[in-house]
Amino acid sequence: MANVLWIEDGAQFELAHLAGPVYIDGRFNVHVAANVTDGLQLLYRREYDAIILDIRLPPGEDKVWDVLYKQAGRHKSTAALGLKFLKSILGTSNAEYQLQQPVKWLTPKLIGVFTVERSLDLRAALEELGITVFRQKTADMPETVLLEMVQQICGVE
Amino acid sequence: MFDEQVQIENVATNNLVDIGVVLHEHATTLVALLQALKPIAESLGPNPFANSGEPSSEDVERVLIEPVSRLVQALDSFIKLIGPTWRDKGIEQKTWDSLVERYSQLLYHRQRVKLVAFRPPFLRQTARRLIVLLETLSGHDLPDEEIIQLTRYAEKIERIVCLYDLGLVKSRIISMDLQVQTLRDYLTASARPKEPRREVRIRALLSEVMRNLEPYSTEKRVNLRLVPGPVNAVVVVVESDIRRALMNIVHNAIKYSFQMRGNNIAWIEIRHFIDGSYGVVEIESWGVPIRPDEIETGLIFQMGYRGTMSGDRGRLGTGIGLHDAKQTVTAHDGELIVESKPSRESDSDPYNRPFITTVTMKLPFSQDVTGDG
Repeated sequence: MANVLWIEDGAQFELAHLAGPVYIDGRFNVHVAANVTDGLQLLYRREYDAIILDIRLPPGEDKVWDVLYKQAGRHKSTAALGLKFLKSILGTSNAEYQLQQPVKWLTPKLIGVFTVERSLDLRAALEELGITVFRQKTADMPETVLLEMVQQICGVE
Repeated sequence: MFDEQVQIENVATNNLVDIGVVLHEHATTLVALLQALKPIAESLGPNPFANSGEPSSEDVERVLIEPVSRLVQALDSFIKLIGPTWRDKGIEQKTWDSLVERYSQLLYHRQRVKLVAFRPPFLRQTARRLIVLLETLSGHDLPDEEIIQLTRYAEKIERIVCLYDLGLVKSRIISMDLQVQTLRDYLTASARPKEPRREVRIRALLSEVMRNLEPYSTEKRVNLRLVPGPVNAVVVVVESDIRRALMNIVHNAIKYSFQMRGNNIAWIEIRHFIDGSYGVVEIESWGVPIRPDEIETGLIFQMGYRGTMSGDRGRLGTGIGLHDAKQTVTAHDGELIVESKPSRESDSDPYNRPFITTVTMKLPFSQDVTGDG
């Protein structure tokens, strides 16, 4: 069974219906983190076969992420904590926060971004990070969108 | 739209009116959506969540226990009945495997889907796939009665979860409608003709606010309690502005109240009294904490700011209500004070527990000139 980590504060609320098809597929387990702090803790606990994350994430309890969030004006949209988090976990040189303990098993191929921002607005940042799987949250997105992203990352149909 | 910080200094009046028109259209659309939901819910048959406010995932899980159990038992019998002969009946391997898989997913759904919030949509989607699968089995020399019964059990699960989803959507629309109204009122306030200040009884104002927010508080299962106060508590204010400020504060109190367990109802207590030269309103609620530094630094009154813990349970907000209320009260030479303390002392991790939040609005008191006091 492949393990999927979904870092999304709306996962258990307005987006809960997207997890169903992933479970129904039968090949995946879904783990959820509602903020950056919890997401990092889960990444340290086990290796995941796919990680899907939002860009507009709250910081959680960890003071480091809280400070970055405050510096960016304490708004999920302007803070874009998801992007900062990606740079940290992928260990890029321009990460605002360099992790003391890197997530060694993690590569950009395992990551997908699922957010309200348009592809156009994130293209440069995601290219720099080497992330190719992206979906924009829209009103008419299918219920299977999360499953499709997971399948794309895992290379299965 | 509501995530962006609204810079309203130096915005021309015409622009404000245009925004007001857009928001009016938005509000009209929300009303239309709300009206459309009612007949849709009625068409889905008996509603286990009717008149009980916003349903929780625990509510729907409780309601689904019996239908899921019945479907699982019926599927078990059907699979045992057809098991030895499905190939002879021309059923494809893929179809049979899918049927057995759906049975297994339903039987073990609690173990597989650990998060309670994921279970209702998972069950609905599984039921829908099963219904489609059962349709393909007709014409394979299978007992029609069994197939019809399985379909009915699956449809019942689908129907219950759809009613649950409709209940959630209705609650969100009501919440959003109030926010759009207050946003529109706030943005267009400076474009409207200036309203003169006049004498207003605090009690009458509070009664009106509570009446306006009753649908929302009912939806959120929060009881609004107005503690009787002096009838002669009169303030001289721009009534629409102070009403809007009170609506924002009480709306926040409802939104950020924690749900009680079981059949208990959460409450908000609204008190008013005279304190020296002020008419005072206190709104006390039990729910989401506000961190001390956010109050001490005045961050909570900043335009567009939402408390660190305000996103708990997916609560929506614009960060405008408290800012607007503060500006309005200050413009009336009054004070707006917020306190938020743990409901229980000596907690090792207080932010995982409910806080008691009290918002105090003080407005210069005016003697009741009619002498009715």
